Amino acid sequence: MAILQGRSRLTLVLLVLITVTLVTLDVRNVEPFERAKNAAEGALGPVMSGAQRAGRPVVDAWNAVTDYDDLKAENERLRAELDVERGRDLANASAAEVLQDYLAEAGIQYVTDIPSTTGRVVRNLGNFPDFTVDVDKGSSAGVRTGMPAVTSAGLVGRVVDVSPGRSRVRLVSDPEFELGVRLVGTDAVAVARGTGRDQPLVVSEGIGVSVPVHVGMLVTTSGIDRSVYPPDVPVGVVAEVAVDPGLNQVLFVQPAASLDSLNFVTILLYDSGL
Amino acid sequence: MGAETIRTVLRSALVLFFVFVLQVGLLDGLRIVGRAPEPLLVLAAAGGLVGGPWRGLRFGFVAGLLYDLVAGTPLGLAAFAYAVVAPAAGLLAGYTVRMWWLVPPFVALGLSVYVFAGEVVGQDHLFDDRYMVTLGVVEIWAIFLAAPTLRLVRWALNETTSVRAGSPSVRAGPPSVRPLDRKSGL
Repeated sequence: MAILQGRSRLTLVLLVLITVTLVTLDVRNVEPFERAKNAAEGALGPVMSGAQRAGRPVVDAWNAVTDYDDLKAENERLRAELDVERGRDLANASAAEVLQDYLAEAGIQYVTDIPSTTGRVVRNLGNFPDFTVDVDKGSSAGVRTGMPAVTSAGLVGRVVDVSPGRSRVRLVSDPEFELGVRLVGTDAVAVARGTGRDQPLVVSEGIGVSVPVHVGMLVTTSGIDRSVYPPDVPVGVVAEVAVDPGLNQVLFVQPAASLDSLNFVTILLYDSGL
Repeated sequence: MGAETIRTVLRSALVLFFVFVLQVGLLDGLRIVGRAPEPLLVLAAAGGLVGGPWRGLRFGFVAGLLYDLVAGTPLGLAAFAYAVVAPAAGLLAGYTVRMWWLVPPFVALGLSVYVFAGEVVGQDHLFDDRYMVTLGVVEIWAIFLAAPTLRLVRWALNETTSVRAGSPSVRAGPPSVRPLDRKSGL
């Protein structure tokens, strides 16, 4: 090709090689490279936060216009749900209170004695969100890799990257996410896996047919030895039960936390000792 | 390094930073059906069209790196896609008039290269059943952003040439023989 000759062609090859190397190092989580990347991200963090703060009025106005129909429909739906709720015996209890009562009855002390820090979820750029969210609290607030992230409803995920002012949390919906869980009311302990955005977690092994399981059962972190999660953090509720050919029960667990509308996330400063 | 080169580098850095801030602070929030514009990709394509393959390559690479640092995908993925699309656009720089409507096709190419390369390195979430929606929204925004971005890049690269079809100032011939390319570092 006559146009790309000499120095240009060499530069093209060189830059392509650099990018391939960068991708390889990043995908393989090479430690020095990760530190350098975190430093660069940390340097851009204030720029991002400042720019997003400055642009927020315009973005809010845009959303008010473009999402008006959705907001109206959601408002009507919520009003209908509210009417239903008012008709129930739970009239005096909010959903959170019901959950707290349930946890108390089950003997669960949910993150009452673990120090924590709460941060705002920072918008991730672009059209291809992965199974992570960024939180504006980092190592300077005591956050370290591996710490669990929760909302008042339950487990959200685990910190996978930390810079001084920011943490990246991998959500439980990630197909590569696994955690040990316990079925409240039984002794059964199993492994739950994410299956994708807006999909339930799946527990496919470890629950034999002899274990009494029903829809609506609460699933919490197992708290077994060497688990990175503290015990009894709500993970979700059993939404469906099936039996596989190996006579294991397969549980589909609806996450307790609403993962698609996270605004604030609490990171438990929990040291699992691992 | 001459004064001209330094000025071009500084202007280019300023434009890259400006477009980055614009994307992060404003345009990424102006979503249509949940999809956002990709002004850094538009900048990469415009960089190639205005500056030719050589300068476009570096424009695309830096724009892609900036995107990678805040997008959550592996570092180097967008840098790769943008560094491919910018010189591809630059191949046309010497032979055609640099009209704004040349930008959106290269933006589509860049987005597709990005998604394809992501799939190759295991980023399965990049390609989903809404990819065509994403592409459509990005293209619509590219149409609006193309002309002002071309103007920005022309300023950054100190190119004052008019781009209207039929204009006597439109230059022909490959960019590698243009005097400006030899003079400028970018």
